[in-house]
Amino acid sequence: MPVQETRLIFKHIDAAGYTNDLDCYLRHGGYEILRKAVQQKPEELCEEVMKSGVRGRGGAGFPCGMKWKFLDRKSGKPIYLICNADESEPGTFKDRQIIHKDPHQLIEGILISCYAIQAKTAFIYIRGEFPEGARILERAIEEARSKNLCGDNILGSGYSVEIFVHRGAGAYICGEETGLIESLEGKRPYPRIKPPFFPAVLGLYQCPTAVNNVETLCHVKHVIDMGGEEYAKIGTPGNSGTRILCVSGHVQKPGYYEFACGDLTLGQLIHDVCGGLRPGRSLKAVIPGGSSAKILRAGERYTGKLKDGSSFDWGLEDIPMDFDSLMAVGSMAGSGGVIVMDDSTDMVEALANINAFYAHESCGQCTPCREGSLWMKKITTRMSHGQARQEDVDLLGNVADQIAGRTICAFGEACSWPTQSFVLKFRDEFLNKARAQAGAASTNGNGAVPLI
Amino acid sequence: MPTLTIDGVAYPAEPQKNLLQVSLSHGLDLPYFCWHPALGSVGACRQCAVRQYRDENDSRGQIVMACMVPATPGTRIAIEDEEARLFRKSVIEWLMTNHPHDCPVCDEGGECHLQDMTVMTGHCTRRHRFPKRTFTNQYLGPFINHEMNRCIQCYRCVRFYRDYAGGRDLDAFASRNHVYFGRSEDGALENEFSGNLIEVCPTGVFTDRTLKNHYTRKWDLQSAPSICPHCSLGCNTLVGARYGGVRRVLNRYHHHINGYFLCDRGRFAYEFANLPIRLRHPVLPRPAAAKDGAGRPPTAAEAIAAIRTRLRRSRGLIGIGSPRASLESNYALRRLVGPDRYFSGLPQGESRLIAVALDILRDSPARSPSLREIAEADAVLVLGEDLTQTAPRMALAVRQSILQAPAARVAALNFPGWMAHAFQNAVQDDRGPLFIASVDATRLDDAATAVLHAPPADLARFGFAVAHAIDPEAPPVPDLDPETADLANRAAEALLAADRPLVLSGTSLHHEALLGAAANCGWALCRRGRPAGLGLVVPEANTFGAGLLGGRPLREAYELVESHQADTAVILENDLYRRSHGTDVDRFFDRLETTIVLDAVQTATTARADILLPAAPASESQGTFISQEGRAQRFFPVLPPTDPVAESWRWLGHLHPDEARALRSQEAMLIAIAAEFPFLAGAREAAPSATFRLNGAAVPRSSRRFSGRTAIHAHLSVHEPKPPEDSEAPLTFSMEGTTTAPPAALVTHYWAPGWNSVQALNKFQDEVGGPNRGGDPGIRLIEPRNVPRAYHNAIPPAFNSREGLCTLVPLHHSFGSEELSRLAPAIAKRTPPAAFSLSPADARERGLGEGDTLSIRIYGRPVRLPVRIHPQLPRGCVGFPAGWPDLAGIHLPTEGHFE
Amino acid sequence: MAKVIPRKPLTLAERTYLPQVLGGLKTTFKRMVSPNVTLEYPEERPVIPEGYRGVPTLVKDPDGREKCVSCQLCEFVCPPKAIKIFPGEIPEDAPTAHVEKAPRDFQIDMLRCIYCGLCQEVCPEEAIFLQEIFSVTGYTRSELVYNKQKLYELGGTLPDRHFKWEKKRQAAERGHQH
Repeated sequence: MPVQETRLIFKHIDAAGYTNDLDCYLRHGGYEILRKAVQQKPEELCEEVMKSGVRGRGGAGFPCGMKWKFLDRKSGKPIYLICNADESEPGTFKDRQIIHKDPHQLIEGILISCYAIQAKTAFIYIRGEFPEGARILERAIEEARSKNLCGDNILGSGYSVEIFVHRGAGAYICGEETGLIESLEGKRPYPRIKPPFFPAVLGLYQCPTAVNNVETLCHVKHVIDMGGEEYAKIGTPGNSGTRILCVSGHVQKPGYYEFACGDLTLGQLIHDVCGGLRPGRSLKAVIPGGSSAKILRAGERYTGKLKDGSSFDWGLEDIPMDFDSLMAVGSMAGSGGVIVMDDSTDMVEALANINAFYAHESCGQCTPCREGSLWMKKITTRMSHGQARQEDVDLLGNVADQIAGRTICAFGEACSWPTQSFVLKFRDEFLNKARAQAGAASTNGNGAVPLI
Repeated sequence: MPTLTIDGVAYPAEPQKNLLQVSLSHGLDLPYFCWHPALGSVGACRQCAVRQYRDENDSRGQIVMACMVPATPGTRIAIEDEEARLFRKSVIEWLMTNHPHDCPVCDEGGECHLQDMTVMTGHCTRRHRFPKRTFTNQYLGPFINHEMNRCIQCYRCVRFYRDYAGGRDLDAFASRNHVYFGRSEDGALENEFSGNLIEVCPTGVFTDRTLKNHYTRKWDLQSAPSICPHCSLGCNTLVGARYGGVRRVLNRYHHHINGYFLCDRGRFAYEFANLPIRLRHPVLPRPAAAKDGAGRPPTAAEAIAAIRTRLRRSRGLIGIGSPRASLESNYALRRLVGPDRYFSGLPQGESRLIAVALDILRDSPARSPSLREIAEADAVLVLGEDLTQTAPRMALAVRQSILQAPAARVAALNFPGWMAHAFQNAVQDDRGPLFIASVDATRLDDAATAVLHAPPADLARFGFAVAHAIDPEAPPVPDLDPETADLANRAAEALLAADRPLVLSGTSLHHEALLGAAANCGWALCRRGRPAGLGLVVPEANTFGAGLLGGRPLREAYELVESHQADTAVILENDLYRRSHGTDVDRFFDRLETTIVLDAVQTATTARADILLPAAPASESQGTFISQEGRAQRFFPVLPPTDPVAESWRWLGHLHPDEARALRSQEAMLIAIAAEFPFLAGAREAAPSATFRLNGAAVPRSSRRFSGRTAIHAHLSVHEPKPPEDSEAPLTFSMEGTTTAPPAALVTHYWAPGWNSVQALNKFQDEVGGPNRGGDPGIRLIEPRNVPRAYHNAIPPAFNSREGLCTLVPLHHSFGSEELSRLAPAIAKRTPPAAFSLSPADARERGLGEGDTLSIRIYGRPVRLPVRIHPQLPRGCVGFPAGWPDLAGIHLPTEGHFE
Repeated sequence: MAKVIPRKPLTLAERTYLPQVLGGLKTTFKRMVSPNVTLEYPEERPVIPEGYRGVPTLVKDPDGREKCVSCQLCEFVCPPKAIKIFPGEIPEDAPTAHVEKAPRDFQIDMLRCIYCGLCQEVCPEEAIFLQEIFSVTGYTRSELVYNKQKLYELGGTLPDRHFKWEKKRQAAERGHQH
């Protein structure tokens, strides 16, 4: 049975004649929900979001309602909302589509969220590589302001909110929420050490701060529209709502697709939605949640128990694309970037590519990822240049094992998980490569060891 | 007692500290890099990983960074956990992937924290077979050498330089493993405390550039505890020497004074003692010298004999002391010439200022604060003193004080203050009250709540107004302009609201009313029941010591000679041309029959001497200084003074005709001082006496890793000479001696097995970051006394600039104003050229621009200097560079005539 | 109490001393005809075996750069304290500036040297070698304190192919500024 897309956020995107200006958005019923929302009590909105169970779409999958609940409202300090539009995970390209094609949806989501948590100021932290997106957002905010949808006393409700667009300077680490806050405060984006401070209590300028992903904030709009309980019916329990999947790699029709969580399996996504692999190719591996997620190898069997107690026994293509199932098979839904690799892929090359990214993006604050990620990159680069050594495979695993879980922020995991999982699951391929190259590359004539 | 468990052993819990600090305090070896007791924890290097267990039943635990976990009761950690050990080893392995293999050429080698930690973790094989990351180095000025390739990115340098010392021009650049610590462009580091980077850096990125001129491995440095002779604060130093020359100065930890940090003047000025202008031999008048024949310099005995002859013939002897000579030397001179013929060596005005300052501090209900107390004050008023230039280390302490009030405010957030990043985030731009009243802009202005730039008289009026606002019984200031009055009220309010208010002033402006105003503020606070501190900065290392011995002002010495009541003068380590106007000094010398001068270096005064005796500088002598805090501290020679060079007090003791025996040792000198000046009796206790022994042995000046005497005289004889003996101090000039850690006053090295770098200091403290084991050295001679004091009421009239006249104000400079330090080549490179500083208004009126030449008539003599425009300088005031020979000997207050 | 051992009386042959005299003459005459084992030193010189520990010397690399960087480890390790080093900086404009350091002077007191070879053992730069020179003579004590120039004269060039400092220079050219 072919699965159907459930388009909430991408409802209008790609529709013929749909443009990203305010008029078009208003024609399609835009800002009606905001109008409805500001009539309600903020606590009610928060309650709806809580009931909806909508989980963060940025990577960690933390329930949005919980995040808001932790906000310290008693301190009397202003509450800030930060929209994390620093979409930089390789394989992920959903937020950019929202920003470029439907910015007002995001702004409406932000405004509703602000009202719900009673934030008077919201920041959209957009990565420096999205200058066009930043311009679109700035224009959209101006448009909204001109219609009194943003700014002082919006829609006559007595509630005022300002949205600022802040452009990052191009660093992956700014997507880490505390790194983002530091960057927004004008400092080097070094992730903060938690404890003592969690953003919900002491975030931006030491005020309670909610940091939400672009997609999450758009979902808030739909939650308020449909009501939390209604929204929760989409998807599976604990994995409510729809999910944008950005499929890239060796499929016939890569792109972004929106599905109800758990509606489809990985196999359906690849074969039914994306038109299957290229002719004559077979599936080799899938990274299901952005490049930092652990890779899944074709032909593996996954068995175990889910949260609700039911046991599962899946092949790669049977895995439902939701938060909990992917967690259960040892990877993660992450930011929804599905990278499909067929049998033409050289896994060493693939890992070398990923490692090059992480080695470049380490912030340089703590030792393991600053030095370790670069070392892993050097090893995989050397392997992909035909100068692998026998010991490289174990060394890679060894270095990666020491990084994960021992850094200040989650970057340590992000940079070591790919290496760990690649080396674990494709050990044979790595070893073969090392064995084949080791003899040839050990010396370069004068007996010196080549230094690539 | 609540306890925590480390490797199965129970230790007392100390929830206000972190596990790393506690582990180190108990002598456990846990490697670390980014943590520093004075800078707190940031958890960046990940080196101090340990396994922490939740409770007794938890057997899995998790790896945590010891520096980030409070040592709360019930905490269970394992340092010797296999996984944690492996991880710590990995961290070193990672750091070593890029650290160059250049220990043989690295100045840090042998005193390198990274070397020590590498050995401690056991990392020894290299698995990283790739080229290393490289950087281009920068020129960072005459003090610091930069070698970025060695960097392990611990961030300590920027955390010290920016967060602690308030510097702006050193920063971290770029990201990932290309993080670069340097300036935005080549150039000297501006901050006055840059030298501490040498000690803060755990490896060889920042090294001592002056040491490179005469490098030697640090294990071969003979080293002795000393007191910095370059300002009045009395910072403790460790002076290192080899082959007869001073090689470097390190910080010697004193919990109450300098703590972990020194200023650049104190650290890099040592080189003056190695210069050719050092006096190494006596100089006798020609007839005596002729007897010696073939150019042989006279010996000490000959010099003494010659002087004795002269003294017998003399028709009147006077002695001129010095605030830069030790207490013993000044006393020996006073004893030689008699109390009524002993002169303090200071001009009338300054003499009086010191007397007033001593009077204020000695019978004061307000406590003369140590630098630590200054750093812990939560509201500070600085009256008239540019601390960064006159007492730099105090400015660094004041800079810490502004975080006290915010720290109290964020205490409610319930996290420990040593979490440095969290603390910074919590504090943000919140700063405690610091009010600075000075003539010109100061380097502390950026930290101040409010600043007042005004002529000295108006500063004093402001101070009196603050005192009046604190306690209405203090004399009011007539005709105060409302703006100043408002500022005074704000300052008074802040001081009154504080738990530990502090007033700092000093004599650098030569304005007596300022001292009175500061005293009034301190006393007013005390009367209002506040535990106020009152600190006064004085010019030289032993100004208070010399001042306490009394002594008449210089002017009277001149008069005595003028009236033929004296024809012979003994001048002790004092360049009179810096004290009085040149013509007066010339006239004085012309009238003298015999001028006997003792000094370590050539000065304008030594050029006028008939007989010159080579005195040992502080690095080669033993003596006592009394700091501005009123603390007597002992310094010891790092080198035995090479005959005939000797401490001044030794020379003077030999000159004494009768009681020569009684005054031949420093101990004897101190006993005599105590007998005559009971309040100086404590000076004897400042350090253990010469007979002190630890386990039956004295303390060695050479380290246990010393290479030995290395055949210095091999070309002459196979027999090695015996190491010089030190009869004055419980220290030896060799590596023979006790191996146990001595009392802090006698510490010659920071070293412990496995800890070769300065971080070994941890092993010399009661607890890491706490007092020295066995107590901090020095004896406070001035303690607050709860006596009723009458308020000073000599309130000067408001300043009025007069046409064609300007008030000369001394502008001090950290690198240049102090007599001896300005001789050191590295300091000289940082000394700005002499200039007159003008307010923009004055410059405009006279049509002068930056760099133009201005002529000002001072004492009827024109002085021409280039103009520097200082935007903050008040109108009618012209700043002159204090301590520059061009303008030496100006008595203040003085007015100059524009020409 | 002392124990007295009576001497055995000599035999007749022993009493003539002839067997001993003849035995000695036999050895003498045998040596007169057998080949020489001594050398006519100094005209003749012995062959120095490999690994012989003679006079410590300083060596240069094939490019003529002095290998010693004055790290002072040999000074540290020298048991009789015969070595004295004055470290120096290489000026910024010198072609070997990237090596940073070279000794201003390097003195070995041959009167104190015990030829133990620890200096060679400890040298991280392979700059000091005990070579085959064994005859150290001089008229004065100061002549026997070998200075840097003398030590390099004795040492010559070490034909190694490491060039580790050259790698540093190349790396410096690739170096990152900020």
